[in-house]
Amino acid sequence: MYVFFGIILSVLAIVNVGTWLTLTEYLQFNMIYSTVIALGFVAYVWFFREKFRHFYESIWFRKFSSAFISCCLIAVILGFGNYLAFKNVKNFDFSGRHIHSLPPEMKDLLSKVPGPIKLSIISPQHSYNAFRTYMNQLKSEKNDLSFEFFQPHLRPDLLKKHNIEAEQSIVVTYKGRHDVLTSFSHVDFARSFKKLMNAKRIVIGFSSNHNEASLKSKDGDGLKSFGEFLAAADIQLVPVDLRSNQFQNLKKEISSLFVWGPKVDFTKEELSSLDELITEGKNVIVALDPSVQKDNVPALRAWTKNYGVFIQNSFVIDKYSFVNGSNGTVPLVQQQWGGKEFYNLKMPIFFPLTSHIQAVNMQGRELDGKIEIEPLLASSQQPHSWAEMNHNEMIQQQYLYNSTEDFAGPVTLSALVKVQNMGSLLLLGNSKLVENNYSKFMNNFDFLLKNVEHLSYSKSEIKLSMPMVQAEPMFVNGIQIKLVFYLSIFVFPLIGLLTAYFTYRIRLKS
Amino acid sequence: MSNISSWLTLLKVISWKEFKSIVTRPLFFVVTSMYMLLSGWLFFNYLAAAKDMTTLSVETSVFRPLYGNMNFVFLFIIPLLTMRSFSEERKDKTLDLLLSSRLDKGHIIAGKFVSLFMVLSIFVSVLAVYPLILSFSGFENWSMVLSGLLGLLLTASCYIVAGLFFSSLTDNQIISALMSYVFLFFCMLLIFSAQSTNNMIAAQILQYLSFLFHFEQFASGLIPTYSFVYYASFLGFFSYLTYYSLKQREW
Repeated sequence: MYVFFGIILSVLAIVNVGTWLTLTEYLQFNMIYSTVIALGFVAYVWFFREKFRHFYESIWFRKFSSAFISCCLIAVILGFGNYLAFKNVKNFDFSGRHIHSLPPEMKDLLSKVPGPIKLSIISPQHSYNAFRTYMNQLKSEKNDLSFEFFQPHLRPDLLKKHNIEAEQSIVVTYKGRHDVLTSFSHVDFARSFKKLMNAKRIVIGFSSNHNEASLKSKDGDGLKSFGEFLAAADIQLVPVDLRSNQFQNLKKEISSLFVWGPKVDFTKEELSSLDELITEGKNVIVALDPSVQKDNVPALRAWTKNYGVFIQNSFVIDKYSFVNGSNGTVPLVQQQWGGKEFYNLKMPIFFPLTSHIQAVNMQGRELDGKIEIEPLLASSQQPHSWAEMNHNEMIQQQYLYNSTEDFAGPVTLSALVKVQNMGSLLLLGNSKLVENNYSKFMNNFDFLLKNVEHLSYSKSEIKLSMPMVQAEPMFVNGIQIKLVFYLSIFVFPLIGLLTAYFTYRIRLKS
Repeated sequence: MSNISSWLTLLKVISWKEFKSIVTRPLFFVVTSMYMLLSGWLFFNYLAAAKDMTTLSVETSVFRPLYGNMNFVFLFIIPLLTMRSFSEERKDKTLDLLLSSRLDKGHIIAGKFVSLFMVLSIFVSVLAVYPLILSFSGFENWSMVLSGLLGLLLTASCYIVAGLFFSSLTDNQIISALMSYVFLFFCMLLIFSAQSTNNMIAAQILQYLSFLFHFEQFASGLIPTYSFVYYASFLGFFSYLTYYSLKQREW
């Protein structure tokens, strides 16, 4: 009889473990069930105490209970130590891209948010852990940030209140205002915090009606990758038609305007619009490609002269530092102008078929004495580089420096013009350097994104970092792969087998 | 102070004797060669596959899966190494001699553990050669590699200490290895139970108890302080159990 009741009680106890794990929401039921089982075991032992006497009076039982109790005590002490360690964790992130840490800008943003933030995570229970890790990261930077979990089917009122349809969403509450997130990247959270704080979002215009490369195009010559980088940094991109009436409204919102590789020239009115932007303290970023045939944008080139610079329709040849196979037509810039360190740029940066930028005499011009020109990147020193003005040499691919018509190196490939009490003009002799073809060459993107960041944000503004790849993919060539193959699969195991053989021989002799 | 010094001297003697008894066998080198072949083959395959996946980093596409697989390999190898530690001595009736010597049980357990740990270090150091080869191609994220290797070393230490305990329970080496396998697999699979339960607290506890959870974090380059406490607790608890198991033979 006592075996039967023992089995029944054991089965019920195992079922109780299952109910604790699966029926988590029925807390009361589980507790009552556990209490009943515990009482059942006590009663069972009491009723059958005579049956158990020989068992619990044996040496084996004493030894077992002694071992069991001491193990339990040690387990409790260790468990408590582990609990304290878990609750007061300090993480060390050694991953190449710091994937386990919040980006510094997010930390900065959280430190700038005054007052508590509440996050209500509405999600099925199986996703709680993924959210909890990130929430703990946020909380470690902002003590008064709190978070709660809700299961969608248990809180239809929340879904209705915030008009939520997604399976997973987070309601961010700050000073009585709400924002609902349905995607959960760093940028999404930062955008939400900024939105609730009424922080201004950076808007950048992109001149779009002069056959410029498309920001939406995934083709090799498109700029989708670049656009995605800007979007990930919470920068809003808007296409701008300088001729449209909408421009007057957009003008107030945008902080910078890209004029990126236009193939159709600008009208006088459009150029006046560019002047207006700079006068109002905005920034204009102009990138012009050289053309072997007829120059398509002479008016735009001439316009830059008003700001003390001129993008020549030249081809920069650098015979000292260039991308292999380009014969000097794709200069590889190894260091910044004059060895300066702007924005902690990563070098080298390459410019595929670039023109050069030269300073012009400002005497008699309106902005004389009001501009400051800062060359950013340049080609190698003379005699290694020059700006080729003879386009026939380019067509014939025979590049020779001619002191009478060419410009001797080092020639400027990118320059920044700061106008006193007004905006800035950033010039580049090439627009191809950030097209999708080169999306793996992060240094080019790094250069442009850091310039955009520098121009667009004032110091007081909350900004998001430009998402750069810190650990670039590694290129392993065929010879190295072979080396890995022979070393790992043949040489090392063979050494081991030979050692085994010699050890065997030595043991045999001895 | 002199007590500690003499304790350490004895420990050194025992562990070195045990270590020598393992590494002077031709079988050890055969096993090491097989291990090198397996790890080298895996490394080459992951690298060959990752060569074309230029959007992934070497850490995530080569070393992380390699260490994950090697952890699994250790789970098979280590019980084979630990099964003879006490079981063989019990079977040959040398354990009672050992226990009646002037060595205390702590010496015996620590000596066997340290010797196996040294063997394990040889296996783990083989894995350090691969990033060294890649360093000639520009690989330089050593912090993540070291974090992964440390995770592997700590996790495999847990396998050793659990294996020693099960070896101390029986004089049958096969049963000892089987018990180790069952226990280690159970611990590893706890993380999957954690994913299947709806109870948040239970899930966290189960996840925390699984060494796979801690190892995964080390392999991904994250070192949380609680993992050290976990590993120390695991090693301490099983060393205590082994100690207790040996103590039962005193009578």
